[in-house]
Amino acid sequence: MRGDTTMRRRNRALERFARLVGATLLALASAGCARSAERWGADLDSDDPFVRALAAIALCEVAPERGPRILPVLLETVDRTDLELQPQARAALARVAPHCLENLVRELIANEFMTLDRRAAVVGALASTGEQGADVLLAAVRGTGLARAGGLAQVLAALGLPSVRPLAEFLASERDPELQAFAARTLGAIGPRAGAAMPALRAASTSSDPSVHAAAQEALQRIAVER
Amino acid sequence: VADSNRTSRARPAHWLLLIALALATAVAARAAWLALTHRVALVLVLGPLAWLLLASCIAAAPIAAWSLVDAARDRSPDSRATWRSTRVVFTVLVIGWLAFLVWVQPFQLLWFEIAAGIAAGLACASVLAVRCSRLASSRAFRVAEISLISLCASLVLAELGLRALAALHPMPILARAGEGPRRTIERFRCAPGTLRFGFACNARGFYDEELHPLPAGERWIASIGDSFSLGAVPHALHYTTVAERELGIPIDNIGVAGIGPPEYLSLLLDEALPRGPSAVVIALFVGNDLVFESPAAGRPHPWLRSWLERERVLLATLPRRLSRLAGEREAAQELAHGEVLGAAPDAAARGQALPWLDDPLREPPSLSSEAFLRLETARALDVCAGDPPALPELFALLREARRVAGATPLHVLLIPDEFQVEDELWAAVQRRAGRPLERDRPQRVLGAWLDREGIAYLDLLPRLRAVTPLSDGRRHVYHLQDTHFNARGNRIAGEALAEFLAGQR
Repeated sequence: MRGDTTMRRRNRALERFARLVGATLLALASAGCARSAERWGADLDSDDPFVRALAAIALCEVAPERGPRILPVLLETVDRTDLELQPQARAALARVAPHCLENLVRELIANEFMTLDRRAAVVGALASTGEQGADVLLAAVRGTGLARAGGLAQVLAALGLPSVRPLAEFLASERDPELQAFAARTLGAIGPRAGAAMPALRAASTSSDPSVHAAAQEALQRIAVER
Repeated sequence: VADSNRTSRARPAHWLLLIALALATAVAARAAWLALTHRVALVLVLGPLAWLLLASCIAAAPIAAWSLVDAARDRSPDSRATWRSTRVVFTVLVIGWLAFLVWVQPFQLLWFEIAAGIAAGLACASVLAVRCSRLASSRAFRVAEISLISLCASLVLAELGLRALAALHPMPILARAGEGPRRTIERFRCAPGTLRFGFACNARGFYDEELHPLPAGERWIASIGDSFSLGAVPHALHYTTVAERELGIPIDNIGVAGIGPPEYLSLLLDEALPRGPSAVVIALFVGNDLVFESPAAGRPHPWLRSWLERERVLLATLPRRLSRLAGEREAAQELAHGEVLGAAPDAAARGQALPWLDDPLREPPSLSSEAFLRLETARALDVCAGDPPALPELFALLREARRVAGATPLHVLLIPDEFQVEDELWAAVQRRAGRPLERDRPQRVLGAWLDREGIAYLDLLPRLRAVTPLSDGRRHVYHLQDTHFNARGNRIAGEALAEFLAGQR
């Protein structure tokens, strides 16, 4: 009789335990026990590259404004084939790009050993920002000079349509003939999609500087011919 | 009385089962917690599959707790039922292990913990089914259970047996990723006296004359490398022998096929430096020396990795290696190099036995076209699409090599891959790779680093590209579909090395 009572008590306690486990999990699920941005941020310094990569990808969703802090880890993940997180890192890079445009452009200018994968991911991320990305690229060209930033012409051309307005404005407002010729050549490289820049190119084709004149003429021809 | 005896006999096993179920509950609860807290990242990485995983983890924890409670409530455990439950748990865990090896690669701790939670839930659900369901006592269920547990036990025993064999009897085919450098060297080193093109490997298993400590004051150079050092040509035509002749200084060839930078450091410490060389040359083959795993770098969770990374489980790697070997044997229609390795061609017999030594156009292929292109493409993707993850470790190993070499000059010989030299092969590799590749990237990155570190190096790429193509438009400095230098490639490399070393005096 006494044994039965003890057994019943024990069974009740065990049932309570099972209910407690279930209830705790349910509460966690319904309370949305997601990690905070701080916890993810701490993982960016982990020794494990997978933990770092996962944190960077998650932060792009929960705290994209931390772009400059996340960017190096995302770029590392784009380069690493062993983690198999490259597509996710590229997508995350596009999400975070508006918050770290200057850093992305600096990466393009300064990193001479950039891998082709990383370059494609950075260009893709800049392209996703549209005209904003083109503006920052042109500011970098103006600030750094063509000797170091001349390669950005390819990136601007690759951006296509979003580059056209900023390039046309750059061409119209810039006084340095070298930079004007750069803008004209880049518009020419964009081709028929740069039709909106024809007025600025026509104005530049009347320039007294022979290099600006030639570049604008050639760009007009390329846009017109391909159209 | 009989019931009471049976119950007391079953009690230890029952306690074991309770402990296992308690552990399973803890593992399942942790998995549920991890899946919930990491759900943002999981959804971004796995897409809709993440929700399935999340639901499985959340379901696994209460099921595990329920099975624990159910077993704990059992006051008169039956030994047969208890052992049966234990067998079911073992079977589910082995199936889970196999599933992880097949579907959840590469190993990452988070994936493991989530998978372990789901497996724990499944194991506990199976225990509940065995204890509660009438189906469990059916004959069909028993047959299925016995078959499955036999299969699972055989697989585990086979893996353990293969590992024991690999430990007791080093063989290249039983090599596992992540082994220590010295063990890898022992596994791949030639047996002393092994004949290669009629030349006996020395007492240390290297393709050269005996290594003897030389009198003090005499200059000699140690050359360390992999299969390029072991060579695929008669000894007299090997690049170290050519360089030795040109330079007039002995060069000891210390090479073992199938090794990489961690093993080079080990050979430097164990074989070269104790004998006091005047200089050391480390030959880096860019095709595969940039892709390795350094045990010194200490990847986390080594024990878990040894059982859960496909490349470290012999049951997964051995069948693949055997089938590839069998496929290659079938594909090799012509005489392969391996068949003449024991032959002893003197100058007169050489022309007949190994005609391609003098005329590369007459050479039969070593690998099938498909296997060769697959291998070259994989190597190009490893080193030309980006920087391999092991690159910082390679730099650390080279720095360490220079440190241990002390006053002995350390030089590096950069050996290009064939796709960097043969344009036709490069075009085929690019087509197959399906993504942009930078052909000279490894030399560009390594060269810049070596320059910065002040380590003198010889890049063979320009010398090999400068070779005039033969009548078929190819340069033919590598054996046909083989990846190693032929006699022509060895001669060019040997002459370039002699010139380089002369300039370093």
